[in-house]
Amino acid sequence: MNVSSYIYGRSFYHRFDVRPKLFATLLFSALSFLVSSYAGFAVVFFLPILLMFLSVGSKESWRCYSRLIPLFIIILLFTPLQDRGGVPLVTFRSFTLVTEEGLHSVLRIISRLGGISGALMLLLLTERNEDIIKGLRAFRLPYNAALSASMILRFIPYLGQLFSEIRDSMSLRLEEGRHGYPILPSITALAVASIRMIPDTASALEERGFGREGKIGREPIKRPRFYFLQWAIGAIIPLSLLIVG
Amino acid sequence: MAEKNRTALRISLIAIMTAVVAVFTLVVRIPSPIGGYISLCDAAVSFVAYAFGPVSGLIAGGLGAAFADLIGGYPQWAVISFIVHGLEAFLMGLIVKKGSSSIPMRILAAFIAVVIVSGGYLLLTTFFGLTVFSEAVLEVPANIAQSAVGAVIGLLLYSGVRKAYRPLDSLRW
Repeated sequence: MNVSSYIYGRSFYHRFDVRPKLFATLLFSALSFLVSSYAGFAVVFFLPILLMFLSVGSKESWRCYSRLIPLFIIILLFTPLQDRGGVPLVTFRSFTLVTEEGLHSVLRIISRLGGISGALMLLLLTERNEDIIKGLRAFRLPYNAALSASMILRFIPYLGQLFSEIRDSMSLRLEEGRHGYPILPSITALAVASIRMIPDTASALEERGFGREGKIGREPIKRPRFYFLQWAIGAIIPLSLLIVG
Repeated sequence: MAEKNRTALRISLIAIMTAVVAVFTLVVRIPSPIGGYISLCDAAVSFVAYAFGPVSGLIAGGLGAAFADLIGGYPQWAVISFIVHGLEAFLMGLIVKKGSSSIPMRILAAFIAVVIVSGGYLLLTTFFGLTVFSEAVLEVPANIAQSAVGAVIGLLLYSGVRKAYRPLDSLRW
């Protein structure tokens, strides 16, 4: 089980420092709610796609966006029928199918859903989890929260692997010819094994110096070249939404 | 010193239980009779609430569901999942007292879980502008089924784990 979406690369966006990248992602997501023009919708939707295509290529970009297609289809089918007040664009006899307001509503929702998903996926595809946590620490994320986040990201694949082993051994207990595995005994075994780890993990944390000032994980992130230029770009790109919006 | 030890134990509990909720959501899937799969997210959230109380439930339940969304490729729902499942676990933990709750209280906790999950996703996905109300309404029956089944499985899981690991109640805070 792989918990990291990171894809190695040397693109412009990969070389961006994690701090301005986090800032740009959050600012872009927040400002996408202020956009109300068709040009703005196009920028919100296509800008993350363009950056993703340039950073990780077409295959990965398609993999991320293909998950959203069923949602786009449902929104396309239902929103115009729900929002039928205003200037009619498509009518069937006396029944109004699509209005200008309905079309506007569809494009607003699709652009926002696609834009925010794309911006967040772009961050996860171009930064390692540990670097994202370091970036959040730079934004004053409390030490205990950062420690918990890094522990969670280590435990998820471990427990996923443990569950696979439990499931495989439980499936051997089924009668011959039957497939699957007994769900309740398997998840109970996983839960018991996980809870047993809690006191041991707490002891390990104390042995590693948990609570002692400056003992673990306090190293700052080095500033890359053109650091302030990266901050400027990280602010200008999302703020451009206000101009087109 | 004792407080520091307690903090280390709490961080370990939160980290491991968050990972359990994420693994239950991502890996453990029950085939649905109408096609597709039902995840055990709500079962894990209910279990954490029953076993470790409202505060651990709020953090581990909410974070676990949010991490599962982030890892599973649906990052836009992470904030909504955190709010909905965190609140679900918090209220269930408040209603169900440590190991001594009566059956009506457990039924009430399960009912609250169903209302929070189905109503929470319906309102918040519309409020955050990630979908339209009519599309969000289509998800309500599946959310009701998943949270109701999850609350029951969570309770069975809690009973099973409590029998297998006696010191469980000492970890609650």
